[in-house]
Amino acid sequence: MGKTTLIGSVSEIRPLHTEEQLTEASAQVDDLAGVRDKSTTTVAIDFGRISLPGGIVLYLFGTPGQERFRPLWDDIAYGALGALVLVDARRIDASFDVLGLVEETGLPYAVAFNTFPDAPRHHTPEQLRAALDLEPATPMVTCDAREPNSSIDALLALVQHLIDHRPAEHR
Amino acid sequence: MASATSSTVDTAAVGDGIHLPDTARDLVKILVTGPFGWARPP
Amino acid sequence: MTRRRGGRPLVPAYLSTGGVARPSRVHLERLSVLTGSGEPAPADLPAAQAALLEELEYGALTVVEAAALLRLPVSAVLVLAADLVDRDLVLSRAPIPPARRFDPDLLKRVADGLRDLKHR
Repeated sequence: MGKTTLIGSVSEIRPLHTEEQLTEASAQVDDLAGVRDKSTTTVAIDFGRISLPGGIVLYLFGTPGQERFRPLWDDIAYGALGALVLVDARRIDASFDVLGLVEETGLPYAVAFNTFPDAPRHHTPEQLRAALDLEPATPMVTCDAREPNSSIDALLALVQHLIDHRPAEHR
Repeated sequence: MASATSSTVDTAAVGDGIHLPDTARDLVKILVTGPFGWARPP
Repeated sequence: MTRRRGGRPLVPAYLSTGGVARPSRVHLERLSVLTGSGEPAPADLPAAQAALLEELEYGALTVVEAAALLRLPVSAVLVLAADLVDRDLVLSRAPIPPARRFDPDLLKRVADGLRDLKHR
C-alpha cells in the first residue's frame, strides 16, 4: 500500500501497472503421475516515472516484498540502480523478509520507515536500525509517503548512498 | 496503417502525457518495496 | 479474455503473442524505448502487433508503458515488440546498460534532478 502512495506522490504520470503472472509449482503428494500441479498468481506491479534534466527518466517500480515473488524480482531488478525499502515500524518481522529478499538480489538499498506527525514512537531510530540488523552504511530515513518532498528525500538518501558506495571496480 | 487495426488503443493515453518526450535518453529505475500493509495514520 | 474499460475486448491473452514463435535478433527489456519506424504496416499484420503499433503512433513508449496501456503482460509485449522490430516497423533503444548504473556522473545528475523537484 505504501509503495503506490510513494510512487504516486512523485510520479509525473498517473501510476500505471502491469499484470504479471507467476507460476508456482506445488508438489502434490498423492499425484501418482508425478505431474506437478501449477497454480498461477497474477500480481500487479505499479510504476511511475519522473523526467529529470539532461534526458534522464527515472522509473519507480513498486515490487511486492514476499519471497514467492522472487522470480519476478530478479526480472524487474535487472539493471536497477537500487531499492528503497519501506518499513513499517510496527511490523518489523515482515520487514525482515523483505530485506532478506533485497539482499539476496544484491541490490543496494536504503530504508525508509513510515512516520506520521501524530504517531506514537515505538522505537528510536537506533532501536529500529538494530532491530533490522542494518549495515552501518545503509541509509535509514523517515518518510511520509503521502508527501512529495518526503518521498523525494527518501529517494535522495538512496541515490546518495549509491554515489558514496559504488563497488570498487566502478570507482 | 493496416485496416486490420482494431481500435483497441486506450485513447486516454493521447494527451495523457504517458508517451515519452523526445528528449528521453537515459532511462533508469529504482524499486520501491516493502511488506504488505503499510499502516495508515490513525 | 482481457477487457478494457468500456467493454471492448482486447486480443485474448492466449493469442497475444500474435503467433510469433521464432527467436528475435533484438534484445528487449522493460525499459526499452519503442518508437514507430514510420514504415507502412502490412495489411496482414496480426491484431496484437497492430494494437502495439497503433499505441506508438502517438509517441515513444517503454515496453512497460505499452504493456500497461494495452493491458497485456510484459512478457507478451516483449514478444510483440521484438516481432515488430524484426519487421522493421518499430525501432527500439536500450535504457542504460547495467554497468552504467554505477556511473557517478549519471547518479549525480539523478540526485541533482530530484533535489530540484522539491517544492519550496
